[in-house]
Amino acid sequence: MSNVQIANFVKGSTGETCDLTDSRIFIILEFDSNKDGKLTLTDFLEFYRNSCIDKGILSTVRNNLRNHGFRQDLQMAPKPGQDDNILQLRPTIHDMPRFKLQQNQMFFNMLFQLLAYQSEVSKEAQRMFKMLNTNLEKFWTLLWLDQVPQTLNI
Amino acid sequence: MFKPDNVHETSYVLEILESFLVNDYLMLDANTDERKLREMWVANFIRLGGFVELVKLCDNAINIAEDATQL
Repeated sequence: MSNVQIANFVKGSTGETCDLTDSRIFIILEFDSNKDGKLTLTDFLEFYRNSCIDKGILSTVRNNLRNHGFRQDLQMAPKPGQDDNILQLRPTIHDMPRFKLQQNQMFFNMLFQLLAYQSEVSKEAQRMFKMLNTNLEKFWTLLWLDQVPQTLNI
Repeated sequence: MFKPDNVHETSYVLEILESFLVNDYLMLDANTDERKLREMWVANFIRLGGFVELVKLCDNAINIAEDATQL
């Protein structure tokens, strides 16, 4: 890495401007083992190792890596439009939490009870209701108007 | 269908009911099962006295509100 590439690296890591006279370039160039004014891969890795362990600025290194598009687990973060840019694999709506919770009548009954509590609790319960799919029992009762055909097992 | 003793549950049921009533089923193709089901549902709701139940519910709500203002 030449000093121009190091300046670009600093710019990409911090989001700040970095000209060729910036002190950070010279700090990084201290790891230039053969003193040719360029960092080899080994030098660059030594700079990272030193920052994490010796200098104890792991949080700064983490922030810099995040700016380069790496997650906490050091995997590349997916970019918008990429296939794997989803939190979890959910092949169908049946795998969504709001669908699973919707099927639990006990959960609904608890939410109805929470609606009667003080305003903050009640507000949160209302928000939860809005996120969930319609309660199956209520939905079918209304749809069939209490005249569920005996042949239907719902 | 309605449970006047539990106002929150009743309110929830009314919201579902509203979604059944305000849905513009005329936008659906006349031959689809969904269109037929929705048309049949409104007719059944009226036939089974659903609107009468709603009026009773409103009466109850008004009475409760009046009682509360007198307290």
